[in-house]
Amino acid sequence: MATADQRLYFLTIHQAGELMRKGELSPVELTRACLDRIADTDDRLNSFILLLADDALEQARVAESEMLRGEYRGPMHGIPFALKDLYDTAGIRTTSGSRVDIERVPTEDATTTARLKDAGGILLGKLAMHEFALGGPDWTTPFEPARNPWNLAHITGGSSSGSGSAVASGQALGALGSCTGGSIRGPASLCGIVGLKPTYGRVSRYGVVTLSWSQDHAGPMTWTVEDTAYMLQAIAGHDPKDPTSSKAPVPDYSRSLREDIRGVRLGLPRHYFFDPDPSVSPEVVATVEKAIAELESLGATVQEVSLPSLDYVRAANSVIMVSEAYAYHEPNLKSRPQEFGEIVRGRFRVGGMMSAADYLQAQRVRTWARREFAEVMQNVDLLVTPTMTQPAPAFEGYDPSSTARGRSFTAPFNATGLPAISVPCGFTESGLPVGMQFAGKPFDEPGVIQAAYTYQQHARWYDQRPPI
Amino acid sequence: MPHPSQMSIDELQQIADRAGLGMTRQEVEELKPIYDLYAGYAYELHSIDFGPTEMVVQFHPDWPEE
Repeated sequence: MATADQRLYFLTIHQAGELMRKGELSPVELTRACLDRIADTDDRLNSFILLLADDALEQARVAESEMLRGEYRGPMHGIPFALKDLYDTAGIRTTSGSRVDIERVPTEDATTTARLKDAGGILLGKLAMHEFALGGPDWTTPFEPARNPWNLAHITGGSSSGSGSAVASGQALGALGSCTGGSIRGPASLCGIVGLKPTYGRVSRYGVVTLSWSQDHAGPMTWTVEDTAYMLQAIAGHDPKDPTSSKAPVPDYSRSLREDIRGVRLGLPRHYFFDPDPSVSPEVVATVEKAIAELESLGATVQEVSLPSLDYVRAANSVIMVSEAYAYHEPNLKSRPQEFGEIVRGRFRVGGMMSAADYLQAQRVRTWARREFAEVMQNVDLLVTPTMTQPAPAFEGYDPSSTARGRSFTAPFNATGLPAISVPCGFTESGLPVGMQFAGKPFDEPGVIQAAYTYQQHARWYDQRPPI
Repeated sequence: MPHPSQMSIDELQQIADRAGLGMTRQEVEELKPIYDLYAGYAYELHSIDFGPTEMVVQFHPDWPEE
């Protein structure tokens, strides 16, 4: 493993922002460093679908001029970031990783895209993803799958695959992912970075191509927890263009960057997340158990909680996902099915074969789960779990249907809409990252950020960088 | 209700046709394993007995705020 050093592309958003604020680093210099890093590595990583080098340098020059005039916009000013290729970008092709949208050029930015630009961020380009945010690496789509910077023979997880590889490898200081069943926290965990799925409604979905209206979430993926807080700050808040957007006030997330977990009550749903199961890696569970013991040593209290609905929430999440996806994609699926990749075409067609009773029963289970989580979380502040059931699988022999089988440690928080963050908590013997997940009550992003930050600062896994 | 994995290809073809998916028999055969997975999930969901609790899918009559 490489150790963090002074290479500019390995700066965090926080570090780079401080240097730029003091006039010790130019946004142009930092953007060039990222573009050079992409040029050096992307033939192996395939993180980017579209690189916007000239535009990025132009934006960086503008940011530099603003800073020289003393017009500092905040922590994202001058920061090179990238977008999963389902975030609309005005005048810039947005493919959702699919031949179906290979020529689609939106006329308007997604609200999140616009907010990051307004915050002074420098858009480097559009990132690889699993087609329409579902499935897995699929060689029948037009784009090569992204590869894991910790071991190129392994997948990144998805569907925000390029977001995971770009941030982990230092190609971008931050990225946005989207998440319907675990597509932010999954690649964050498998690539050894931080990923936050905010509360449903916290971040606008406007201009983010839909997979499942009622379960899609947009959120940041970064190297550290503080960087996630800064990106979230830039994109959070009500958006009248998104009918599911919340009007709840947005707190100052930087106030949660405090190393203190004393007295925090952590709920441990052991029966689902920790007990032996054929779909769960004992090595992952052991790594997370060790991290939880460290949280206890830092003053957190841990108590087991029971959530029987967990045994059914993955099923509900899956049925709702493909049913809503079918409703959204039906016209294209019927008129030009051959333009979809094999994996997604199959899943979406299955969505069209679910009955109304199936969909409604899944929604009823969701109601059950929300009630149960609300009751249990009266007695605990956060839930703590492994993020993923397995470390990153190898490409060789990979079964794409494996992502839809067995337990899912992320899907329950999409179905319930609760905020959840993945933070690195160690490595397997073979050197692959493992993530730990904190989930909170609705709109308690401050709580999950503070817990993850406290652990991160104690464990310091962020000092280790991938070998690429 | 029989488990979906017991469904024949002919039955699955009927469901695909009713959905208007325009699938060939070969496509239906290839789809069967992933259909079984998701239909198995639906089957699991229908097996739940909520008892006397009214587990509703909610509807709110209020109009969106301007």
